[in-house]
Amino acid sequence: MNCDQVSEKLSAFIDDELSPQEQVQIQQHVSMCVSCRSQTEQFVAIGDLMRRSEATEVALPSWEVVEQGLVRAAILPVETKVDQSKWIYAALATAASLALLWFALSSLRKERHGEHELAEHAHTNMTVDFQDVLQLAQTNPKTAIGKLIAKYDGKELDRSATIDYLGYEPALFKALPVGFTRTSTHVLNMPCCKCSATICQRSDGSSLVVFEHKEEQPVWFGEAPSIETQCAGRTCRIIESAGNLAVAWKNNGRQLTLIGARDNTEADQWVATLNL
Amino acid sequence: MRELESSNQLAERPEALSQAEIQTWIAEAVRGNRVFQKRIYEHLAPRVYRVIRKIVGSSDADDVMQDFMIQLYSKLRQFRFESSFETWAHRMAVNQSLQFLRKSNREAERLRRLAVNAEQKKSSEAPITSDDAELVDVAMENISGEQRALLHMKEVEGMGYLEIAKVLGIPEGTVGSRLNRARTDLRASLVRLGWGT
Repeated sequence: MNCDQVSEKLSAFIDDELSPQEQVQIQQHVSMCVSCRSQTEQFVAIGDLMRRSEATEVALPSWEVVEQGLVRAAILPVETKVDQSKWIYAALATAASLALLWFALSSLRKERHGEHELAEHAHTNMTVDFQDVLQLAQTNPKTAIGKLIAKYDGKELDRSATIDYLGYEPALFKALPVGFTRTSTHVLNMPCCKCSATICQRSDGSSLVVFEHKEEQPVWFGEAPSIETQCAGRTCRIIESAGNLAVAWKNNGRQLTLIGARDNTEADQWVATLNL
Repeated sequence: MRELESSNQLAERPEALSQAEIQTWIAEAVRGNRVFQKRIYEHLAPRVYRVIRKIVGSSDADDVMQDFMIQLYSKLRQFRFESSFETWAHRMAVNQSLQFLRKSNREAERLRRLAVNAEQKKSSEAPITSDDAELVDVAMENISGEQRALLHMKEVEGMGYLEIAKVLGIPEGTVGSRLNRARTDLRASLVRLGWGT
C-alpha cells in the first residue's frame, strides 16, 4: 500500500473497522512511514482531546424548565400544583384514609376465616369511619387524623416507647434519607395490627408520612391507578395523586407505605434508605 | 491500532432499559403521567444534551433540547421497538440538531466566518487556549455540523460505523471517508488555535 491508499483508510484503521488483512497491511505501512505514522498519531490525539474535553460537567436544563416548554407547546396539559404548606394536612388525611382501609381489608379477611364477632364490629366501624375521614379530609384534615388516633387508641411516642409498644424498632428510627427530619411518630392499635405512622419534614418545611407495620396486610389505594415498578431495586407499587406519589413496598417482613413523595427520585431515596 | 489507542474512558451511556420497562414508561408517559415523563427525560437527557450541545454549540443547546423534547413526546406513541429506545432518541436528537443548523443558516455563517478566519490568520497570530474543553469548542466551530456529529458519536460515544450510518442516514461505506475529512479539518482548526505547538 502507498501513502495515498493508507491515508484514505486511516480513520477506518484507527477505528478498527477494516478487515483483519487490511488492518495488518496498514499497520505495517504506518510502522515504517514517518508521515503516515504522524498523521495517525494526530488523529488518535484528537480523539483523546475530545474525550478529555467531555469530562467537563455540563449543566442540563432542569425538568421543570423543559416541562414548562412542553406545556407552552401544548404537548403536556397544565398541571395544578399542590400547595406545599397545606400538604402536611393532605398527607395526614390520606394516611388516615389508608390506615382505615387497611383495617377494612383486614376485617374482611378475618370475616372469611369465620371470626364473625370481630369482623362485624370492625366492618361497622370501617363503614362509618371511612366515609367520615374522606369527608373530613376535604375540609379539616387535622380532625381526620385526630379522629383516627382517638378511634384506635393512637398516641405520639418517643423512640423507646414506640419500640416497647410495637415490639420492634420502626425503620425510620434507624435511618432517614438526607434532607429529612422526623417530626413525630404515632402508634395506632388497629384490629389488623399495631402500626406506626411517622411524619417527616423536608428542609423546606413540607412533610410526608410513612406507615410501617409488621403484618402481611395488603395495602389498598382505592380506585386510584397504580403501577408496579422498581424503586432502588425493590418492587414497589406507586400511585400518583394530585402531583404527589404514594409508594408501597415490602422489606424483610414489614410493609412500608410512603405518602407524599414528590417524584420517583425521592421514592428511590426512601426505599434505599429504609433498608431493614 | 491497539498501541495507539487512548486509555480514556468513552462517554457513559444510559443503561438501556428492558423492553418491558420502556413499554411501561412510554405507556405511562403517553397516558399523561408526569412521573414517567420526567423519568424518561432524566434517563435520556445526559447523553442527548451532550450531543446536541456539541453539534449546535452551547448558546443554542437549550433551545434545541426543548425542540427535541417536543418532538420526542409528539412521537412517543410511534416508537415501535425496532431499535433501542435510547438509539431512537439519540437519532432524533442528532437530526433535530442538524435540522436546526440548516434552518438557522448557521452553516452559511460558519463558512463566512471560516473565510474571515483564514484571512486574519495571514496577518495575526492564532489565539491559544490551554483549556481542552474551550479549545475543542472553538475548533469545532470551524467544521460542519455533520462533522461535529460524526466526531462526537465516534470519539466520545464510541459508536461503530454501522450505528453512525443509521443515525445520519448515510451509507456505512462513507463513514470512514467522512471521518477522515472531519479529523483532518478539526486538526487544521486546532493547529490554527495553537494546538500541538
